[in-house]
Amino acid sequence: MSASGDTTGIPYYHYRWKKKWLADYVAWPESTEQVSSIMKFASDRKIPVVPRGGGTCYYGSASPTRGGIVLDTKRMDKLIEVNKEEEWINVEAGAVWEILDTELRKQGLSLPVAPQSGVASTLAGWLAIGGKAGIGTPKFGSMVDNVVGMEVVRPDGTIDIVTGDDMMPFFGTSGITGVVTSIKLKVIPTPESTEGLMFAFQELERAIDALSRLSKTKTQPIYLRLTDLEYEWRIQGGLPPKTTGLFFVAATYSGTTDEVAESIKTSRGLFEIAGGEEIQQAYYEKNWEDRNIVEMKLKLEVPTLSMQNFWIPLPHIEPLVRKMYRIAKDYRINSCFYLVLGGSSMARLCVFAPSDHRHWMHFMSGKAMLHRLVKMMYRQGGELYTIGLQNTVYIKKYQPNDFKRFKALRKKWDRKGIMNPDKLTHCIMSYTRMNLMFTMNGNFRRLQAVLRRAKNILQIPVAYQEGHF
Amino acid sequence: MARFFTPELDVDPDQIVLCSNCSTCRWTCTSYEEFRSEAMFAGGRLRLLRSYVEKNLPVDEGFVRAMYACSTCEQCVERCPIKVPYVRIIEDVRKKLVEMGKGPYGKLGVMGDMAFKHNNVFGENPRERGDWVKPDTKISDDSNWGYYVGCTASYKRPEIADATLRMLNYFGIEPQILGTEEKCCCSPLIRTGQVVRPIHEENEHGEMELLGTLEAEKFIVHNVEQMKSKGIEHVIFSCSGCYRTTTLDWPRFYRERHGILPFSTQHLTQFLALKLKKGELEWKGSYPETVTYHDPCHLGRHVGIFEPPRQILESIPGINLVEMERNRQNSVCCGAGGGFKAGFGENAINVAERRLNQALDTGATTIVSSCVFCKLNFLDAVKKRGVDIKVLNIEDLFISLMGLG
Repeated sequence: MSASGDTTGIPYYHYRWKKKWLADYVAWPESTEQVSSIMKFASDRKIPVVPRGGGTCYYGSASPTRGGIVLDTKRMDKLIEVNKEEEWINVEAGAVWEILDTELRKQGLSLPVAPQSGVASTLAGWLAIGGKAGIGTPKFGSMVDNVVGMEVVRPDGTIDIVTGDDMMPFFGTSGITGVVTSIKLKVIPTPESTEGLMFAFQELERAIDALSRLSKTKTQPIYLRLTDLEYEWRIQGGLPPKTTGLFFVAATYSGTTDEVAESIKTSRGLFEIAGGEEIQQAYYEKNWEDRNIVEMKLKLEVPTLSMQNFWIPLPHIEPLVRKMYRIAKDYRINSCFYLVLGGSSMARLCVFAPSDHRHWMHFMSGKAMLHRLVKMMYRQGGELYTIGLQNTVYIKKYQPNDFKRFKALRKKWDRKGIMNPDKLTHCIMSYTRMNLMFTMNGNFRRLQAVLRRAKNILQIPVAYQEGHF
Repeated sequence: MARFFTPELDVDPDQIVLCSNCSTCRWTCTSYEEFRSEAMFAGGRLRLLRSYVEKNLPVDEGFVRAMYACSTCEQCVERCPIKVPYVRIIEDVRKKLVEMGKGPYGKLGVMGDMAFKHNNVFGENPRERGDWVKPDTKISDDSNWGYYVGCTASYKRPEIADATLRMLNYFGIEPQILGTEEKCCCSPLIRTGQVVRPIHEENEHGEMELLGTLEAEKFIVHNVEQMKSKGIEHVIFSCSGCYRTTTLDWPRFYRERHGILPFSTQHLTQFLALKLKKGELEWKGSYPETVTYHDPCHLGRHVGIFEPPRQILESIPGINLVEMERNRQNSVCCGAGGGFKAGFGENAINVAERRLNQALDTGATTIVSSCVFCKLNFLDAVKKRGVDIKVLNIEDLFISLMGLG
């Protein structure tokens, strides 16, 4: 049951998004040929297939919705070939990022990019959700820039090698075009030095300004993150030391020792000009060590994580964050965010509505806040970072071109519609119903707040939500 | 709250919702590595548990098996970003399964039966518990030092008990032992959920007859009271499992009704490291071999003793101490703990074999540990799988280098 069900953190919330939430079969293929046989079998009998990597996606990308087969690729994790001269590796797509990187480091190589969930997610898993923002992406580009070629199994069971533009249908499409079984991936020599720094800012505008300037410098960081105070407070279990700042920017550089020293100097200068205050190095290091588990650390204090990931240009972030604080204040709920720079001044903004699903009104108000932010984000320009099961409803409504593209891909490669059903091209939940539900919920919560009946179940650590916005 | 938790298994819902399903724990899990199943690592088990609880599904054998196929090594807790107290949760679930009559899994119930009937989990004669004491070693009736031997050293590995006693004698300590009055520390019982369990036996008519109720607390209170009556103030342990249970579990059971434990506890590695620090330990022999140290889970992650055994080994003349890739907090379980060896014998040996191969990869010729269970399981792997490595405990090294054996 733990393999055939939904692996997301709040599975019960999505029950109405699904017709049959448990798969009928779970397959753990160990080779491309086995994947091919399974696909042929499923295709002949029109059985739904849900390809799954680490199963860490919070949006139900790998959750069964109509039973069928969960095709778990975790046993396909072998490193097939390492080419040190040309700096690429050929690796099976079920390999876990962190384990692969550890293996490569023994040979003096490392992965240029990796997702923040790299401790548990697999190569093909990140590829299937787009692989746009993670560690290394500002400097080395997104995953698509670092994949040279792939071996794939099409929905009808045929095995193909794809390169160049032919790979594009596999990025961010949740496996609807087929199962990626091995990837030829660029690697880099292990960097001589990896260092960074962290600054605190009193004002959001200044922090974003510093971030924008830094994103235009010649040497890009491998990791650039902006967080707010509540986020820091919750993940580190206390306020950052010796600072009165409300927003925090952490930047990490890697490369040769001289390069890194020069970049640190530049970024320090930029942050200081923007009015930032440097945070103790030990605190930065703690943050850097936690880079892969940082989202989950929010659960230290919060039973249920609701979140939404936006993929938006840097200039559009400030109004969205302000809106987030305003709604949270109105609804008497908590909210916090972190932002990771992707590349080309685009960032992944992750907004959290920490809650406890057993306090239904509080939990749903958080969801209503995220819904309103999504609508605002679409008005301003931007898109959702991960689609999966939960966000397909928005794609249909707000990203018609992408929706058409996904439909066309499904039509071309998966005529029988067996690959990961109810993701990207169809949604059981209707937008109108969801919009109505959240609007009513939000209004009711506001009424509760006005009548002083809106109990905030989680302690708000600082007064900034009240005072600053 | 009742909305989601309609329980046959009424485990604490707060505990189940803690896990965020990030699966960080998957890749270091001993049991996942062995079974390669989604239900066989901490996050997967909690997901399974949550499904059973939320959907109010009847407990079946597969569920019980999944809950027991864990060596409670705590590697998952170490890896978990939010430190979900997974081992405590799994012990609670096992306790609940035993209460429901659905647990323990397989033959693990025999341990409880034996403990009830013979005061030890092996079913050995309780009158022979102190028979390992050799005439040339010294024990006393009035020392304030005590040595808690444990079931495994008393019956299965008496050489460990003998070595520990000789070590204490070497430093002028003639400890008291409880001998026939010593009962199981309850580590295997607590780990497998047999804290309170009715014991049945088949009578001559083939009917199951209730013999009585096994209560871990009674064992614990008995042991503590025995030590108290003998005036023991410091207790030495050679078994990491006993040490962990005495240090972390006994106070839990004892304090509420009887007050604080009247003695301090010390593992022999702590004792030796202290002697070393005081300059009272001078090695008489040398051990010119490459050695690697395996951290027992109960001593390492559970209690936090990582450095004393290493300090002792490093002080041995001629020794070349090397570390395995996964050491200290990240050490791999040997596969013997948490009822895993008793419930999944062959799998436990597979796990031990993998760990021994990791030791061989370092170039070590000897693997040293400080736990009777680890030694037992490693020796089984050496015997059954032919792994070419020497398996020793620290006390074995001590008596051989000091010429006490």
